[in-house]
Amino acid sequence: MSELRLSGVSKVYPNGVRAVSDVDLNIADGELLVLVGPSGCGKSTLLRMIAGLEDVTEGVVEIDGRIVNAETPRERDIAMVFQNYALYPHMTVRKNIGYSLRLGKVPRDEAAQRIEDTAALLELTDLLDRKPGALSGGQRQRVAMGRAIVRKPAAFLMDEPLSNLDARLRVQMRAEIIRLQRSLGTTTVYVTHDQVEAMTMGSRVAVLRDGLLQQVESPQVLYDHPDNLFVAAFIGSPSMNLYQGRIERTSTTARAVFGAHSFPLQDQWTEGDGSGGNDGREVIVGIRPEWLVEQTRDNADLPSVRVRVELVEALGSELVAHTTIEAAGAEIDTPELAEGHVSESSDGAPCLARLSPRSRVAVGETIDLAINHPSVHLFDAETERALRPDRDR
Amino acid sequence: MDTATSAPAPPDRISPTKRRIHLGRWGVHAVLLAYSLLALGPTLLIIMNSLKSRSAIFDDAFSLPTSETFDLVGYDTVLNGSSFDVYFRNSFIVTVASVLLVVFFSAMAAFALAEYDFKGNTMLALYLAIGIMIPIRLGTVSILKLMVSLGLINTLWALILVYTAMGLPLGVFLMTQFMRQVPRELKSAARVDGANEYRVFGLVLPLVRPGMAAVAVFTMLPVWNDLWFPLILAPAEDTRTVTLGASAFLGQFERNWNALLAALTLAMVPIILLYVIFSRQFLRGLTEGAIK
Repeated sequence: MSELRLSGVSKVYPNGVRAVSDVDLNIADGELLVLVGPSGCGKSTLLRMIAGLEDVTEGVVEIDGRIVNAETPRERDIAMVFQNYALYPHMTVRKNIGYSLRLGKVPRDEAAQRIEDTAALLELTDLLDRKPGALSGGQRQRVAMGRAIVRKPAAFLMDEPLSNLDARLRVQMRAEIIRLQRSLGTTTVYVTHDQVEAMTMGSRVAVLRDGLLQQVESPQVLYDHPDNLFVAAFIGSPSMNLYQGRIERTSTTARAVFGAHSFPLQDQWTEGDGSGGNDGREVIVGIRPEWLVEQTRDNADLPSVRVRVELVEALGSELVAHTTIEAAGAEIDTPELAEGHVSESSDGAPCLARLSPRSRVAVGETIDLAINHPSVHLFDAETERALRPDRDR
Repeated sequence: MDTATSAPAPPDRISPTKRRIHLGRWGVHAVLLAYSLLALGPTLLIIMNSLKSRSAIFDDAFSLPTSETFDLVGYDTVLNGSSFDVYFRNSFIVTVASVLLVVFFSAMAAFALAEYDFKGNTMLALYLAIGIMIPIRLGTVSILKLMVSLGLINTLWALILVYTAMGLPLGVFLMTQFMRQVPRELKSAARVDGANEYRVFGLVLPLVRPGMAAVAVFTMLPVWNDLWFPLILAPAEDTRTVTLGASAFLGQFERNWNALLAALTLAMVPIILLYVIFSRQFLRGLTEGAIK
């Protein structure tokens, strides 16, 4: 049980690559914080620095108020779970779990008891005398968890522990890890590139991009109020539709115009000194796929967009329509985020919509989709920071 | 998506390419067989003739021993007429000690080279690699002087030290490759579990057992067969190795072919045994890695 505190932590490799830049992060006692970001964003490096496996170039890492920069992993009293499990292949499950206890000179009886308890907790009792080679992926994963749990460490560090499992097992282990973490109450830092994992597991989620911390918030706040374009595009699946646009305002109204479409902005945007400060401001307009619904008589008063349906994916519970919209798409230079979009064609930008499974949209049709949400996300085109009516008006 | 429209593979028939591969395989086997015969021929000749009488060796060296020509006089000379038990013991001590030292030290050096990022890492690896290319015998005179001043002439230690130096460059080179294959996360896991660097090294050792077996085999053969250094550094009667002892039959017993061939045949036995032991390890290590 303890609190982790990172202040101004940076990692610069000898070849000049800056993997992590000036990260400030507090992880409260018993909290599960998820570090999420695309591959190569420095999240694993950050975790390895907390573990003491990488030197900290700048900044301070504290565990329970104790500066641990110079301490070896064994002195920091943390346990780590690795992506490929990193089980010792020549040792039985029992010895794998008990290795740290043996090194820590825990008395033999107590060690045996703790191994048994941990194995029971993880339903590994029958497998204790097998070697890792004879275990399935899910079982290996549990052994790796057991190796961490048995030590009763100050904190768990997990480096993409589920990414080698198949989808079904991943969902199951995800729930199991959450349950374990809650019941043990051990401070945990969990690294993943999967935003679904991040949203479901973290009490708070820290989004990392190119070694820079973007936003640290609860999953819902991240989803509702992304601080910048990157977080907006990264969180949510399918990811947010983004278009280049600008703000047009008169003395009484304001609207966000993108391509052939526009969206009326809330009253706050029109308040103020009336000087039209934001008029003509270049912005990026963000619309979540789940805000779009088929236009009917009931919602005819909602702002709408006209799109051409290119592809329909029926998922049973919902229907994802890949469409094109007459507007200029906003580029964001992270390759991971480009996946899943229909490639940009000459007659518009891609627009994804999550529709009700009862919708009767057909490929090739041009339809109107209503935006069933009181606001759209606006980002400054230059800085990519989110515009808030209360702040940027 | 412009590359997605490549032609599908043609249906599986015995195509001309396949036939060519088939022929190629036979060719390879023919070459390998010829090479095996070439390599095994002299060995077979030695074993055959060691079992024949002296006149039979000279009459027809290429015939198998028959009931008339069968004669164990060579073995009798070797086992009863000389101190070959001492020679065998010496060879065995020197070989096993050198192999153990080479395996242990090259594993340690390789761990450091593969695991730690320190200044001069590459230079050190290159320096060691030079040792593979330059034969140690070029330094014989200096080695002799060194051994004389250390007072190690006519001791087994002189041989063990020289052979350890001789085997290390290749050993380090090979072990470094094996050490690099050990997943980084495994070592990280051990460190997080509280292992110090010696423990981490100890944990890695069983995982590079195939590498250690390979190094052992490569080190063992030239050491066992060497005539040069025993002759120069330890020619005394009680420090003689088998190879040197066998060479004494050329002259001391006025070219006693029976004894010489018998000694050579006997000298093969321990080395073959050692080879079998090490190569078992080698194979076990390989399959273990495959299951993992």
